[in-house]
Amino acid sequence: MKRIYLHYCGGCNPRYDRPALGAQLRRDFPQYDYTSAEEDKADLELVLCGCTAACPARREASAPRRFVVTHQTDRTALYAALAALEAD
Amino acid sequence: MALMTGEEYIESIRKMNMEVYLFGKRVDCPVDDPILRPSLNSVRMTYDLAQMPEYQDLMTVISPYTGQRVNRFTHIHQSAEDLMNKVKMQRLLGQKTAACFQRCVGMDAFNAVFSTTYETDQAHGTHYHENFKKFMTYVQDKDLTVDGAMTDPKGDRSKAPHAQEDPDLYLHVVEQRPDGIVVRGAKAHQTGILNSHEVIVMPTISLGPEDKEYAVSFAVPVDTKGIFMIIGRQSCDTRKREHTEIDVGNSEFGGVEALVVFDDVFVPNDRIFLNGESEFAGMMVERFAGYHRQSYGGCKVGVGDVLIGAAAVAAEYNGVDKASAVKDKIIEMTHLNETLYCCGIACSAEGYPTESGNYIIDLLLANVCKQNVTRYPYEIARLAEDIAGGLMVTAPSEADLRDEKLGPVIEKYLKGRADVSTENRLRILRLIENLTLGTAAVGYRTESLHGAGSPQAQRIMIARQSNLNHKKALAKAIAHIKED
Ligand SMILES: Cc1cc2nc3c(=O)[nH]c(=O)nc-3n(C[C@H](O)[C@H](O)[C@H](O)COP(=O)(O)OP(=O)(O)OC[C@H]3O[C@@H](n4cnc5c(N)ncnc54)[C@H](O)[C@@H]3O)c2cc1C
Repeated sequence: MKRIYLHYCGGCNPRYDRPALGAQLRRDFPQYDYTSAEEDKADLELVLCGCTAACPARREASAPRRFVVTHQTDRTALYAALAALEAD
Repeated sequence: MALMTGEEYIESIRKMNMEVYLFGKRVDCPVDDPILRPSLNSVRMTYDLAQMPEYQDLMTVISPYTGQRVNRFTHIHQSAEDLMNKVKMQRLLGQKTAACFQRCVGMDAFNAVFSTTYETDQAHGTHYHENFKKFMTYVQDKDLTVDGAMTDPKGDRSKAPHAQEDPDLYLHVVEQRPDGIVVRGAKAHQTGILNSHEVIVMPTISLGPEDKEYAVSFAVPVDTKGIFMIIGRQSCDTRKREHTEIDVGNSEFGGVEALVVFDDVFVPNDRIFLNGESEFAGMMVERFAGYHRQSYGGCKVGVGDVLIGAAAVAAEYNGVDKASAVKDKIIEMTHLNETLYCCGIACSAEGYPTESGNYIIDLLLANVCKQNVTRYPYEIARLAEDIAGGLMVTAPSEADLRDEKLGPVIEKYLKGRADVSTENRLRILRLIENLTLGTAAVGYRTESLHGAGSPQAQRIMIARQSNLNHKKALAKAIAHIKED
């Protein structure tokens, strides 16, 4: 089972509800294992950033793949990226 | 794991045996006192958020000293990014509490004392830095809250400490012993001291050799023998004893300050960070003040976010939110608030390493930040009061609203938009009252003015840091001025 590291930014100025999106993605993609611990080896680091500053994206990725979500991210692209993970 | 839960934090404070006085009486259990409890809840938020994945990036960090994930409030800044994350964390906590969450003074004292002890040791061959590092790792391991105590009562402001009629008006060493020192004096306006496990004491001002005994810095548990605190009154504080939710405006969170007396308190040698090296008092003061002036570019902005939100809700409830003049006032409030944030971020982004390796903010920009903080919250508060209308100070009490006879009258005559309940309208107005002239105004207004130093203190620093000669040279070059 592929694992996703669900990485939230610190949330000082969120322009959408990050935990709600995280919960929605867990529901929509139940085929994956989710972790919020950076130390767990994951296949994808999914970074849910509250705004375009995307602070965590400045640091090195902690998984072979990384997808950064901000309030401007096209949700279709996000869903496509998550769907593609299974096929990889 | 070096992180306490909110509940563990509350219980750890309950176990302490502090001597706390309020309204002339000793408070048996400060944790359960209705006037004091909201301030404890604010500090608790610094623990609660650290447990939540969606805030972990700001609230916690891996300590290079212990290798453990620690609360950022106990962290020694390792980069400019750390400094920026500090400001963002403070904004977040201001948003979540709409109050002073009290843990910043300790964090700022931590970083100032860390670098000053290093440089004092280099000059004097003392061991203060090792003492401090031992204390710091203890605090990180236990996830403790630390009060930062700088401000002495100061007596006659025109006189140096040694020249005061009463020598105790600045905290000083009264006895040097082989195993430590004994100190006497007081610290005024101490934010959150009764919600802290430890207190770091620092001098208030730069000192000369004649004030050697006043050049003292150390840390002790707040329930050490000889320490007692007298809680400061806040405007509208006794409303918290009335068991009302609406009238207090913010029923869950608040801030607290106290006058703390050190009545011949013993400090063991390994908790001493400065003892007589008077030329380093100024460095410690300047660095603490610099970090603390940066802090206000985060915490006040977060509280400002809540106040702007409250004003916007009040406008909606009154049916004026579409009016261009009201929209413009909200824009102005946002502009002022974000300007403060810009300053907090800017002085952090321009941060640089000290000799000890930890990062310090750009002092000029931090002082500009705080100078703006001495003004903008007042204007934001004025605009919020403007939008709220007079009812924020003339509304009847919650008891009247719940009264069988008066309740329906209040419902009828104090209604705004038809689809909004009168109760909700009163709730948002009371929050605005709380922030602009109630208990939270202590933190949002007067602390913005005097906390981390009165406005003039920043102007002195701005003058010192402004690089005016460079500016003059620029002007002369452009004007082709040649002087002999
Ligand atoms: C809500 C709140 C929380 C605080 N929290 C803390 C805390 O946690 N820890 C801490 O250590 N401190 C804390 N402070 C203290 C804060 O740093 C001081 O209030 C500040 O330094 C000003 O000191 P003061 O209040 O004694 O005012 P004063 O020093 O009396 O200043 C009043 C006025 O006199 C002027 N003045 C003072 N001295 C001189 C002089 N020699 N010459 C000319 N003019 C002068 C000042 O510029 C100012 O305009 C807090 C303050 C507040 C209001």
